[in-house]
Amino acid sequence: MAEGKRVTRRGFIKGSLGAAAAFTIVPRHVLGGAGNTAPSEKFGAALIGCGGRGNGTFGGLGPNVEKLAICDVKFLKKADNKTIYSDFRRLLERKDIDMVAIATPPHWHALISIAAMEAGKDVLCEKPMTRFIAEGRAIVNAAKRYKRIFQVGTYGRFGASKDKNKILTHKIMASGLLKNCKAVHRKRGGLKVQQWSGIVNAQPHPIPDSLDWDMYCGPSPLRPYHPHRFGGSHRGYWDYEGGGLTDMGQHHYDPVQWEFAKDYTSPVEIEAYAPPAHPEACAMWGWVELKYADGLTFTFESNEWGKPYDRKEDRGVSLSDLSEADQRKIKDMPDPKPLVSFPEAVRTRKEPGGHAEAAHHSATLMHLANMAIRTGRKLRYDPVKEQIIGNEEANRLVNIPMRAPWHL
Amino acid sequence: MAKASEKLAELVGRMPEPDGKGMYCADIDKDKIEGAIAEIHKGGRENILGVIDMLVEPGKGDDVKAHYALHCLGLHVCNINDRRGRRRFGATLASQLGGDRPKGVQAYLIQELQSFGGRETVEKLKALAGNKALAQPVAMALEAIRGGG
Repeated sequence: MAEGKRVTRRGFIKGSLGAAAAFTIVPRHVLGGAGNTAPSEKFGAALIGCGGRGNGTFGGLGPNVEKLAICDVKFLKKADNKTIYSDFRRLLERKDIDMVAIATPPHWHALISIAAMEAGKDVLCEKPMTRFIAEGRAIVNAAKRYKRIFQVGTYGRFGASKDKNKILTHKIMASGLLKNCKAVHRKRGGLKVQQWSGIVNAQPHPIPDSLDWDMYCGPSPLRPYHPHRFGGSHRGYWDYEGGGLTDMGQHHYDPVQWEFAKDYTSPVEIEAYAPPAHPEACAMWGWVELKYADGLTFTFESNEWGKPYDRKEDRGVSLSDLSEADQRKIKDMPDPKPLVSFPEAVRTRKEPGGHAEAAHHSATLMHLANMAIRTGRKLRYDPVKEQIIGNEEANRLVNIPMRAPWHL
Repeated sequence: MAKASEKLAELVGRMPEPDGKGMYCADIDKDKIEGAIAEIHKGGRENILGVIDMLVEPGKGDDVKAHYALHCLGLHVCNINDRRGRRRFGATLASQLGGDRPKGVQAYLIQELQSFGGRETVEKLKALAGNKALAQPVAMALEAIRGGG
């Protein structure tokens, strides 16, 4: 104890509570000791959502994990609540599980991620991170509140952060020296628009005995069962995802967002060219243009419907966009620190490369694009308040009400 | 009246046919859809009711075009910034709740109010909060309209 410092009763209690709180947020695998695994050994892990992306997402947890349990709403008949679960809440009660991989359809990502972090688990969540913007902010807040590691399951930014040219772009954009950015990044095709469209004339089918359909629908409306709403093709319905745009968009734009140093902000103007959207099924659209406050423009171009985008050509940023004095400043800037992988983040408690805030902003790109498609209007967005300006119908898509009892 | 219904049926008939997979992925003509919707909108409340009359309970028939047309009408009144038209759209949908229309149809109308309904629909929605079949969509619509969603 420092000389001259007196310990009051109140101070002692406060300090003890702080120590207890600190103890509870350090995972057992970091502490080691009797009955617990040490850092050099394996982490207890679980997979929630055992469809097509399940094993791939689980693999991202790293080499030192032991799969202790799996969970899926299709395990209604074979769930033993020991190694196989159909309700994620039962699985999250287990103290021997340190981390979870979440590969459910996206309408469950936010609620399960938040519940897992509240239960003290680190989370690796399949992309797209969320179904709507407010879910992303809730995940960011939960990761901070519970001091958990959250990483989204897309890894392109790790490669981008090692590319010399992309590092230069990152430094120019992060410097704030480029006041009027003329850069345009166009994503042409590869967004699986037809592939992940929904059926508009689906008729109700009997629910399979093994499937907990109510739990599958969860926070989304309880619809009549149809097999196309389940098992991968769920991507074609607004209830669960947002079509090929959200399925592929975060893969593409998450590294681009890092390159252009936009991990902490979002576009301010969004305009789409599309036919009127269907209320439930994702369908065709032509292109979406998203502009940041500094002028940087991103596009999504389907190449599957309508007239092609012809407003702007691709254009990067370069040192020659800056004055000679500013060019010298960029050359003197240190390179950004290497991004931390999920396994390293779990071990060291450092922020992972695809952390919640960055992932929330890259998911927001797709959500804004889909909101412009769904409303048919040019949107203005406030990236600080995370609200659409002057458009009530579009704002209703920022924070979509959930079906009771589920809520953010 | 019969003539108006024929005209409305023809306009709704201009909505796209689902493709071979049941999707809206082929022959989607934006101008044709928007032109027909603008015509339907001109018919006011009578046409909104006419489109609602074409809706059926899921699994009880084919209402694909009317289902889409009603949503497009909601988009249209918002996109042309027709405040009166939007209130009329909401009030007309709300007026069809609580009666003997099939519950699946009413659930769809409530879903549309979640997207486009205003305060003029709140009392009608609140009256259905105790309806077991409709309570969930009603709660979601009210949350959206009151600004929670």
